[in-house]
Amino acid sequence: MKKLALALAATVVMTAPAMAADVEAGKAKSVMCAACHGANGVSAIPMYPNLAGQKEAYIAKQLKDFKSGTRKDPVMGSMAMPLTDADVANLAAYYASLK
Amino acid sequence: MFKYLIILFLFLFSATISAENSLVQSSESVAIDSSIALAEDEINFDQAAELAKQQRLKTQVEFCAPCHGKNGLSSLPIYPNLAGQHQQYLLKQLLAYKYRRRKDAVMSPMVSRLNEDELVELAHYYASLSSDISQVEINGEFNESSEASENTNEN
Repeated sequence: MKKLALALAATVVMTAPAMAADVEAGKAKSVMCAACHGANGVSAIPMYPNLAGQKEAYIAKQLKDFKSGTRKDPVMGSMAMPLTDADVANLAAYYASLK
Repeated sequence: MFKYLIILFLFLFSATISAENSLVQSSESVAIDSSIALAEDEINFDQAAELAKQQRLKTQVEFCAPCHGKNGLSSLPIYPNLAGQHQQYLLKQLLAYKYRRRKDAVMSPMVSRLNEDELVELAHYYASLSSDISQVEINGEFNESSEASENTNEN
């Protein structure tokens, strides 16, 4: 019984991140990104990357790296700082979903 | 006897003049020929340099392709698409990898052996590719239309 509960818990934990990605929530959160990365994820400023259609896992990793300081950038470091893991997943799902 | 000497002298004299003339003519034509050859060499040199640059770019792109896709559209979720990305952004990241401002165990060694001119070429190349996502892979496999677009991108 204990084993079953553990397995169940593990399953929930493992599938939770995949289920957590909410494109609509990501879109709502993306307002602050739009100034540099464009309203539709296509940047009008050559120094800033397009995000539309970028790989979800890549975007999520970069946001986490900006937040942790593994990838250093004065602008993105402070932008990513307040993001929760759910925000990161939602934003990544939203930008990956754009064409 | 004296007559013969005069004739011989005249003969030698005329022969020397004609030889000088022909020498001048031939040296002039040599000068013209070599200037044409020089111009052709310059054109050939430019063409050869351009060809060498293209060939070098092609070789480098082959190193990027396993992770970033032949057409700059990555088939692996953790690696970014590069096709259609801003050239300035791409170059900034390539330089950041080269000089370790952006640290990455894979990218830094890949990029640090390239010089800055080569990085400019690479950034230009990926920025010029189409980011049309309708051509991206289906279930991790490239579909036929994306294969076709890869071929046109190569040409």
